[in-house]
Amino acid sequence: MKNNKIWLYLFSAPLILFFTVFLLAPVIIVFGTSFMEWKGFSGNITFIGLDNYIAAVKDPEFIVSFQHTLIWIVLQSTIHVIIGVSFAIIISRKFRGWKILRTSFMIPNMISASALGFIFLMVFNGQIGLINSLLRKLNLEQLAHNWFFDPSTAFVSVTVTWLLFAGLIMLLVLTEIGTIPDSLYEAADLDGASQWQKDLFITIPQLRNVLGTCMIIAATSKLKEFELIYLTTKGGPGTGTMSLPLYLYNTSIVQNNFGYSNMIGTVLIALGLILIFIISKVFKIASDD
Amino acid sequence: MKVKGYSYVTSIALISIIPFLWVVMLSLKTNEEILNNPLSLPSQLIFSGYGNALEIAPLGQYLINSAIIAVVSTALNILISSMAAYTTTRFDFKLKKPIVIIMSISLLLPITALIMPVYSIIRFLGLYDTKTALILVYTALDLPMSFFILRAFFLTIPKELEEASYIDGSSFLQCYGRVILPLTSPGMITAGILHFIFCWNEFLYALTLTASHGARTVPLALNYFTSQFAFDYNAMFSAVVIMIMPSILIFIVFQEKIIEGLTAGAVKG
Amino acid sequence: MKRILAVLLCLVLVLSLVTACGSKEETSSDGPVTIRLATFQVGVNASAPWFASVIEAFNKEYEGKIKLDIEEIPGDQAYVDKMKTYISMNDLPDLVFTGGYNLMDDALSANALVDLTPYFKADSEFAARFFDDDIAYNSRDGKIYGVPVERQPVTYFYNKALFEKAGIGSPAKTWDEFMMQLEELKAAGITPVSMDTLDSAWLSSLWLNSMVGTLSTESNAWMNQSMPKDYNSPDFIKAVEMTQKMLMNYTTKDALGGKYENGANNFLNGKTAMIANGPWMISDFQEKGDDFVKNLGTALYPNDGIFSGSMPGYLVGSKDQAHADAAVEFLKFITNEAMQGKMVEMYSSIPANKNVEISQAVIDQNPLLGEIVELQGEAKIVYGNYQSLWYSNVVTELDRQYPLLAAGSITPEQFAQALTDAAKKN
Repeated sequence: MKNNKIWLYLFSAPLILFFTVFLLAPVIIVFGTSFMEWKGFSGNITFIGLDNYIAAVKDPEFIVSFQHTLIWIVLQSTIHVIIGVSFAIIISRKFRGWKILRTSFMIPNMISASALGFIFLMVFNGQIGLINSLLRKLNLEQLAHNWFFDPSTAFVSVTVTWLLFAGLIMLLVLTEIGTIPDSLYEAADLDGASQWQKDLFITIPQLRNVLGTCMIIAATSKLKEFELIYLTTKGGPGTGTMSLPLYLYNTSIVQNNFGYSNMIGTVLIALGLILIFIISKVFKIASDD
Repeated sequence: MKVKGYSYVTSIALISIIPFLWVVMLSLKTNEEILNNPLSLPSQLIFSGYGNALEIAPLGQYLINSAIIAVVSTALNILISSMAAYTTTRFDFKLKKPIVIIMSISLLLPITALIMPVYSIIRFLGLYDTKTALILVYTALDLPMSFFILRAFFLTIPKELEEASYIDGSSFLQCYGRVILPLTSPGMITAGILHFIFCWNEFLYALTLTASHGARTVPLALNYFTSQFAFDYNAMFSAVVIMIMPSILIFIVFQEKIIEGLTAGAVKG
Repeated sequence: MKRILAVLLCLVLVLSLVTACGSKEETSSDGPVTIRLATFQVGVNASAPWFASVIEAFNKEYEGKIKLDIEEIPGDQAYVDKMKTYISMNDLPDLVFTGGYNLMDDALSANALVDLTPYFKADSEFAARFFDDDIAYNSRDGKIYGVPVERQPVTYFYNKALFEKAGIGSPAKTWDEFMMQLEELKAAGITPVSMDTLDSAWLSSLWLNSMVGTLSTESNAWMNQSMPKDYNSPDFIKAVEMTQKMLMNYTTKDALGGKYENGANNFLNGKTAMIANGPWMISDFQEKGDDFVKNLGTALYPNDGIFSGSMPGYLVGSKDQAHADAAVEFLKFITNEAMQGKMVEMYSSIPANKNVEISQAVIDQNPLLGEIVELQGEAKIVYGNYQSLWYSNVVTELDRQYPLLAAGSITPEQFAQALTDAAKKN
C-alpha cells in the first residue's frame, strides 16, 4: 500500500483543479473586490477599504433584502424541514400507495425552478389563476386578487413556491430511516410502545445527523435562491420580496456596481459559514470518520 | 392518529401535484376555454398547442443541448467526486483534511455570488457561449454535493473487502476498479441522477454564459419565450409541459434506483 | 485492470472532447468579416418577418464579405438586460438595436460605442437619408452614435364598437373629458383601457407620459428632457394620480402584475376599449382579421398630444475598424430605400429614411397607418417617451413602483419620490 501515495494525489487532482478554477478563484475575486470601488468592467478599480460595507448598512434596500433572506432561511430550516421529515416518517410505514405519494411530493423538486416559477405565476395569476378560479367557484370572489403583485400577499406567495416542497429532505430522511435497525423497534414493540412513541423516541433520535444535514441544505439553499423570485415577482412589488441574491444580481448586472455586488457576495458567503457553524454545533455533526 | 397522518401526507402530495396536472389540462384546452373557465375539464382535447409550441420556440434544439450538457457533466462530475471520495474516506494523507474542509465550505457557497468572476473565467478560457462552458461550470459547482453524497456512501462500505483485496495483491487502481466501483455504483447512480437534474434545471449560469441557440438550455426557453407565448395560452402551457416532462419522467423511471442506491449502501454498513 | 484503464480512457476522452469543443473559436484571417448582431426582432415579434427578409437579402448581397452572427433574444426587456450585461462585460455586439430603450448613455459611459460621425461625413447619400431631429436624437455632444431605422409616433387605439355601446361619439379632447369617458365605459360594463405594471409598464407609462407631456408648457418641456432627475413637480404628481385612478378603477384585474402582452391580449380579444401603442401594433390587429381592424380607430392623446417619432437607432459596439466598417455596411443596407419600403409594407412602421414615401396604395390597404401619419401632422404637442429619455435604472424602478401604485399602497407623491431617488443614484 505504500506506493499508493502518487495515486492518492492523482485521484484528488481533478477535484482540486475544478475547485480552484471555478470555485476558489471566483471566491477570491469576490472577496478581494468587495473592498474596491469598481463600476463597469472597463472602469477603474480603486481600493476603498470598508466603504462598501459601510454603505450597505445605510442602504435601505440592502437592509430589507438582508431581513427577507434571514426570514426565509429561518422558515426554510424549520417549517420546510419539518414538512419533509414528517412526510418521510409517515410514509416510511409503507402503507398502500406510499410510493405514489412519495413520487408526487418529489415532482416540484424535479423540475427546473424556471418552470416552477412560471407555473406558480399562472397558479397565482389574477385572471386565469388556479387559486382565484377556485375562490370564485367557492363564491369567495372578494378574496380573489393578484397574489404575487399585491403587496399584502406577495411575500407569502413567493414563500409558498418553495416552502412546502421538501422532497429532497424527505428523500434524505427516508433513506436514513431505512438504515435504522429493526431490532430497535422490535424491542419497543415488546414494551408495547405506540407508533408515535416509536417515532418520537426511536426514529427521531436516530435521525440526528441527517436532520442537521437537512437543516444546513435547507438554510443555505435560501442564500442561493434566485430563479423563483426573479421569474415571479423580480423582488417586487417595491422591495416586498427582494432578497440578497437578487440584489446582488441587480447591482452587478443592472447597475454594474461590481465592488458593491461582490460585497453582497461576501456577505452571503459569510452568512453561509455562520449558518453551517451554528447548525453543526447544535446537531453535533461532522463527528463521523 | 393514523388517519390524520395519512390525510396529512395525502394533502401535501396533492398540493405538490395539482399545479402540474392543471397545467397539463390547460395545455389541452382552447384559448377561449382557458380564459373563460380555467378549472373545467377540456370540452374537447386540443393537441395543436404542442405543435405550435415547438414552432414558436426552438424547443427541440434546447432539449438536445440540455441533454448533452447534463449527460457529459454527470459523467465528469461523478467520476471526479468518486475518485476524491475514495481517497478521502479510505486513506490518511496530507490532502484529506483540506479536501473535506474546502468541500464542506463550498457546499454552502451561494453560487449566485460567483456569476461575474465565473463569466470572466469562461471568457478567458475562450469558452463563452459553448456547451463546454456549461459542462465545466456545472461539474464544478455541484462537486461538493456529489462528493458528500458519495463520501457518506463510501463510509458505509466495510473496509474488510478492500483489505482482503489488497492482501490478495491488488494494486490501488485494481482495488478501486474491482471492489470500490461495483460496490459504490448504487451511490454513484444516486449522486449522478441528482447532478443530472441539477444540470437540467440550472438557470442563472445558463442565462449568463450562453448567447445562441447552439448552447442554450431548456430552462432558458421559458424565460425567453413567455412573452412570445402570451398571445397563445394553449401553446404556452404545452411548451411548459414539454419542458418539465423529461425531468419528471427521469425521476419516475429512476426513483427506485435512487432510493435503492441510498438504502442498499446504508444497509450494508 | 482493464476496467480501470477503460475508466481512465473515458476520462481522457471526455477531457479532450472538452478542450476540442473549447478551441472552436479560431477563425482564419482572410475569410469574411463576422459581425455579431443581437436582435429581439424574432419569433412572434411583429417586425420578425421583415427583419428576417432583411437578413436574407443582406446575406445574399454580402456573401463572402460579411457574415452575420445573429443572437436571438426574444422580448425587449430580456434583450435590454442582456445588452446591459454585455456593456458591463465590455463585450457589446457589433450591432445593437433596442427598439425603444435608451442604451446609448449606459454604453457611452462604458466607452463601448463607435462614433459614427465619420461615416456620415464620408457618405453624403447615407447622411441625407435621415431627418435632422432623428439624427439629433441619436447624437451626444455633436457626435452621432445611433443610426435611426424607423420612426414611432405613438397614439392610442380604440375599439369603435365598444365606444358606441357606451354612447361615446369621438375620442376625448381634454383629460377631463377622457376621465369622463372612462367612467361612461365602465358604467356600460366595458373595461375601458388595457394597462400593465411590469416590464416597465409600457402601456400605463404611455398614458402617464402623455399626461405629463400635455398638462402644461413646463411639464411638456420636462417630458422632452433627457434624463431628468426630479420627478416631484405638481404636474407629474397630478399625472401619476390620474394614472393611479386608471389602474385602480378602469382596467382589467390582471393589469396588476401584468405585462404588455396581457394588456395587448385583452385589447385584441375585445375585452378593453383602448390601448396606447405605436403603429407596429397594427400587424397584430391584422392577424385578428379585417373585421377587427375595421372596427378600430386611432387618436391623439387629449390636448392634441403625440409621442415624437424619433427613437433610438442602431448602436455600433465594434472593437476595431474592420468590424465597425462591416457593421455600418449593414446599417446602410437596412436603411436603404428598398428595405425601408418593405418595412412599411410588412410591418406598418414609419420609415426613418425620408426618401421613402408611404404610398397611397399602402394607406388604402392600411388605413390605420394612414391615420397615424395624418395625426402626426395635426398634433399640437409633441413629447418623448420614458424608455428613451429616463435613466435606465429609473425605468427598472418602474417595475417595482407600478404594482404598488396599482394596488393603492403608495401615494402619487411616494411614487414620484421613488423615481427621484432612483434618478439621483446616477
